[in-house]
Amino acid sequence: MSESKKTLLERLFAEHRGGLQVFFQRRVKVDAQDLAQEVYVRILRLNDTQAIRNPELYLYTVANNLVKEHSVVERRLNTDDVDDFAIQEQLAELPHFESDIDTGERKKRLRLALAELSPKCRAAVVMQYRDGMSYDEIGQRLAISSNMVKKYLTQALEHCRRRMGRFK
Amino acid sequence: MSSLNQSSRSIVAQQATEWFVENRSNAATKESRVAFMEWLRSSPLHVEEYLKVAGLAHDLRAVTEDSQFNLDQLLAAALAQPVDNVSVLPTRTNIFQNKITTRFGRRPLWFGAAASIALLLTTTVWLVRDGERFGLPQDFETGHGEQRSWRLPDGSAVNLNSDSEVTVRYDAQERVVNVKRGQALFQVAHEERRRFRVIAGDAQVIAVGTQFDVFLQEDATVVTVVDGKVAVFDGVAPPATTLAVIPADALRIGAGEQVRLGGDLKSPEVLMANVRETVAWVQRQIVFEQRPLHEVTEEFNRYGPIPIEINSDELRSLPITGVFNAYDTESFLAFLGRLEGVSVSSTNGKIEVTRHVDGQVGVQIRSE
Repeated sequence: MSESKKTLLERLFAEHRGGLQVFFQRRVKVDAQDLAQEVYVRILRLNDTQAIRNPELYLYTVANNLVKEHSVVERRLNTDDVDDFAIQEQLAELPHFESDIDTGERKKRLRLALAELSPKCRAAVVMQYRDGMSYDEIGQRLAISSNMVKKYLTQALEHCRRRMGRFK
Repeated sequence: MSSLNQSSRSIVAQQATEWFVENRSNAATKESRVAFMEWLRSSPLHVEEYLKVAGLAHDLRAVTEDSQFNLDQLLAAALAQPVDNVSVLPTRTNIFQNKITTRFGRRPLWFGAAASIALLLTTTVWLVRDGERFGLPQDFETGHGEQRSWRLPDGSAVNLNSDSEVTVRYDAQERVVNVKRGQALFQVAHEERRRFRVIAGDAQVIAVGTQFDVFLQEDATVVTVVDGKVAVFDGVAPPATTLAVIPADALRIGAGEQVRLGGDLKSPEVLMANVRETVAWVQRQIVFEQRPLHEVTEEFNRYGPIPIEINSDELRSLPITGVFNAYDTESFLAFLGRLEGVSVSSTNGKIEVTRHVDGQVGVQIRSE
């Protein structure tokens, strides 16, 4: 049902999500603090920040490029003795064992955190992050203002973040 | 970041969360984007916490997609929840935050500079908004090969394709956009009291809350609806009423439909549109499904620095299917060059595409 409800921009964003997807899946392998530091330095180097029309997308792009650079270096270091290209490809496709466990544990914790939210918060989270509905649409469904929707989503994210502990 | 105490970090995390939520709001303005960029640039900790929130939201999407939540049940539970039950679980940070109401007021002193910039920007927004309310027109324009998008003061967005120009004028009664040339995609914020009217050549379009594309061509105006409904007028729309109501006798077109007005058409004809094809320009893509080559070439000529000419009627009607990057004329020419019996040559500031009369098979690319 959600597809038609999504705005065009969201749909376009969703179509470009591939790159971001890779970033978010790989992020566990790179130290978050180091990554943030490097991203920050690159953002500081920008001369004309006003020219950036979508700072958030820009931020993700920079972060994604850095993660890619890291993983290229990592692969070069780790696969010196594997010459066969096909094997290398397969290795690259296989999920990282540790991060796989991490992902499972993270999801379990998130589900618990979701269960602790108030019904309105939980409904807002599902409509925003699963169904991609706008704040106005969510507000209409919940009979509240879009400012209240923002408040609920902020609370929900804050709550999940605190509950995630070391996984945050 | 061990030198930072935990409360500073949780304040930054709170701000990151608020920015993340704010950045997904339709009302996000250019000023708020600038303020967000400033916030990011003021500390690597900001970048780190923002990326964490983004990662959390990403995981939330994955978890909510997995867990088969039924929206109707969720909504029923949510509507049954008492109105005043806003807080999640009381925590120290929440109690602290409850005393402060504005986003900028929540920042500690070391954010003073950023906060005052943001405040100044907020003031500017209001001035701009009032300027719009008084009906002062504003021009938006793109050059050859340039695409841009703007957020208008009411939260609506306008995307302009290459070589396009619109004038936006808002007053108390209506929001009027005049498409002077080119192509524009509108994402209209719903307003009870002010309708959104687009003038393009001899055609006019009235929208309530929707997304649609207006392409002012040489001999016609093509309106394509992406989302919602619009009313189209072949001529001048009736005057605005106090409520944004679409007149009953108007030609209404809905999502996925397209209408072509003007030219030699006696009456406007509503067709099913290929929406993806129509709005692909937003992604700087050109999408074609079984379109004659001359149309495809015209599309490229809207972006490219050197005009492409087709010198064979047979080639002009050759059907083409494909997705191209609008700014990558070269790969399009390479694609043409690979077609049997087609040659591409570049002379005298233009690119010519010709057919071999002798039926010679192969690629022939000449350059001067």
